[in-house]
Amino acid sequence: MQTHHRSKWELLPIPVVPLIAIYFLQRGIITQVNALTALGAFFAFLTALFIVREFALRAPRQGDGLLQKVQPFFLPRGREDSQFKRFLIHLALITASIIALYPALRVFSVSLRPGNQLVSTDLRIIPEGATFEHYREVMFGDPETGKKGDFFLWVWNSGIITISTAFIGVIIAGLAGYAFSRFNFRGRKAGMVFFLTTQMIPAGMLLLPLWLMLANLKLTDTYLGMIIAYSVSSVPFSIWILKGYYDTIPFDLEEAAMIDGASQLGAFWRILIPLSIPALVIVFLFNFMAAWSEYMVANVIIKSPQMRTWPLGLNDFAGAFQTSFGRFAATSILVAVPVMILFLYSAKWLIGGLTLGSVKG
Amino acid sequence: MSLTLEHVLTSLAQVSGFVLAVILGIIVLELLLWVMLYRRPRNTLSRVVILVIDLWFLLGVGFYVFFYEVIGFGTDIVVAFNKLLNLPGDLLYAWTGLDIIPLIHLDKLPWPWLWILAIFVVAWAVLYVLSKPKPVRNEMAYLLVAPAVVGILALFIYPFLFEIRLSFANLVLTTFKDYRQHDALTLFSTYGVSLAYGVKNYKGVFTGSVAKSATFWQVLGWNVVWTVVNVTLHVTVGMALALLMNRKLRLRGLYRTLLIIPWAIPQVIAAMAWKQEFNFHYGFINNVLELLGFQAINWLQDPFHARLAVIIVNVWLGIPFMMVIILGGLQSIDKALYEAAEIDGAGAFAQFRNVTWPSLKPVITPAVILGTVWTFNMFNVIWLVTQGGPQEKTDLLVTSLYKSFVNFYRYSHAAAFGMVIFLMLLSFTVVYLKVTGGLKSIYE
Repeated sequence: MQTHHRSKWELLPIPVVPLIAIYFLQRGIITQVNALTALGAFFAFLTALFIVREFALRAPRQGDGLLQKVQPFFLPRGREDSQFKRFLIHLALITASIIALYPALRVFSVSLRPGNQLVSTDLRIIPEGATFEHYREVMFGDPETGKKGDFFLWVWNSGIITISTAFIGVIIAGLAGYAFSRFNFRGRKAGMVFFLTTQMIPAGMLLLPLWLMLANLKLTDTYLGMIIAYSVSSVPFSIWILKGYYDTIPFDLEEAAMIDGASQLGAFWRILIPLSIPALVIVFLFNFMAAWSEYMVANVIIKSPQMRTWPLGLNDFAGAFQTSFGRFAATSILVAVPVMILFLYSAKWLIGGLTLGSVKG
Repeated sequence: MSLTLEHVLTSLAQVSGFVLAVILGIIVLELLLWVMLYRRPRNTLSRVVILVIDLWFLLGVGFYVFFYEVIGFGTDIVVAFNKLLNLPGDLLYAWTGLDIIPLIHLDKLPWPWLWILAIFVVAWAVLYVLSKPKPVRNEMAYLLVAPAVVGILALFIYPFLFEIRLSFANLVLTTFKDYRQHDALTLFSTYGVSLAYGVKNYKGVFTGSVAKSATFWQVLGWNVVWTVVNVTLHVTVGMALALLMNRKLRLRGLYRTLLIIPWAIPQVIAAMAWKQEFNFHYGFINNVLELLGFQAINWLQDPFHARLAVIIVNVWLGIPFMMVIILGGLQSIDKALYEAAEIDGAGAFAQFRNVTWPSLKPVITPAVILGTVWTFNMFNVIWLVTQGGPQEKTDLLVTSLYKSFVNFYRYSHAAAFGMVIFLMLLSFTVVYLKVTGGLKSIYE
């Protein structure tokens, strides 16, 4: 049996190395360092670690003392792959991670750039003279020009539209999902196929009749119009997810409650709803996130600046590269980071819902 | 524009009022259905009364739709009736001259709806008193699906039929006013609808331009290429990454989180950010290319590179989804299968072919279908990165459809075009489901 002691000193580089790197970059001590050379240095460091492990750490035989016990954090525990192969795998995964991450970090980097060097060919993550002025500008306005910030208005508009949509969607889908899960009624099969078919409809297809309907009801450019338009796409998919979740809860629980004298509705309300709160939350989040960053429908229904949701406002910033690049980036970061945290937190359940065999267009 | 307290209050009042109205509507609907499904008349007299109420309800709605919506008869009566319905609010407002609660304007309350609600409550009470419980079995299912059915009827079926009707009309920017004046922008109106228009519209989709100058077949061709290239890259790269991560590996959780990030970023933001990065002078792609000694590329100006650019963006966006799905599938494979294969002397490739691939197939197939539909209908990436340009060379069917409606106001053409796209996707789905028998799992 090999014991895996982890020396506390080995954990030291995790916080220290990035700190030192950021410090050097910020102070301009390594003036020529850009992202690419830093990358090269990082790979060199990794290679060195693996060489050290190969030739230095492996040499001692069983019971040779300190080195045997130490299991450094960068060394794998499994025995399936050879050292070199594992090194290659890490190399590939690190490259992939950088490709996945860099464009996102780039937005963050631009949001920190001072106004006079918004456009530059700099590739660093933290630019020279980093500042939060763009964040202040989009949130609280520009004191020099007296222009007010739009950010809170957009987020407010998006927020109340999205929350109401998700709320209505959860109520309707929660009820219908139960019926599709527990009852064998006439039209059940047709209903499930129908829901699948609605997901094949491109979102843009029903936009024209919907827009005319809303115009007839004088609901364009209003919150109500937006909520109605959004709940179109969210309900069938939510029913799918919830039906799948209810299916996993055994019917015995409700049966027991009904034997104890509860009605079917009572069993649904007292047994199934409390048990499926996680799924209801996920459906809420799913509807929320689908409507939160919706652009196409909003662009047709909303006209006045006061009603704008953030994707519409952001697209105006994105249109003018040189003048509002910083404001675009700052707004993006402010909007995206909470949503990303929410997504990463709920990804496990969302994926479960997606793979239930449903199709969303 | 910035957020003011007044804006917050008025918007909150509007939205919460609407949500409450929806909940109230659901309750009313449920009560109505409940009394219909769970109760039966007490005696002959109550049966007659209930029949009268039902008939009155059905006939009332029927008459309204037929005379008012279809024929347009009795418009004056309805207007006068509406005035009458609004009377309580007007009177209250006139007498008090002020609002009892700020933000709730008495004259602006939805009085017609409140009247309907009051009539409903009375009618429901009568129905309840005149009836007795009835033994039921599966009726609750209908109560449960009723709100969804109403929603889908109003927001899927009605618009869909309306779309078909529009595709048989001649609605463009210049005739829009004419149609509006004849109150012809509803499903039931027969004004300005003819088979000849329909033939012209549907023929126009296949022979003329779909948005500005590109033809249907050009757009469809690029759309197919786009879908095939994207889905292939999503699956192969996603599979490669998943296979790499499905090992004993340090920092696996960290890699997983980092690699999932393109999926976690709101698509709109990712697309807009990528658009900036294709800038000739200041985008990081050209900067990196120049650093490595290549020539900077004029990404969004020439068709080939614009297409390459949107593919890059969409591949970047779409890989995490496939990776996560495939990784989930890989982790559910029984390790004993690999051990058995190893004992039988199977190498790495043979193990992949005989163990991994067959076990992954049921996981990958729905994911690929999902990915194909998503990619085929991808709006955000194309619209926000290139707007379909240059010269509509990156336009997909959905963006062409959107353009023909939003930018060129060819409403009837857009309706016919939308129907064509829908029928195409529908036949694809039907063929797919027939081939794979994929619906079986749904019923159980």
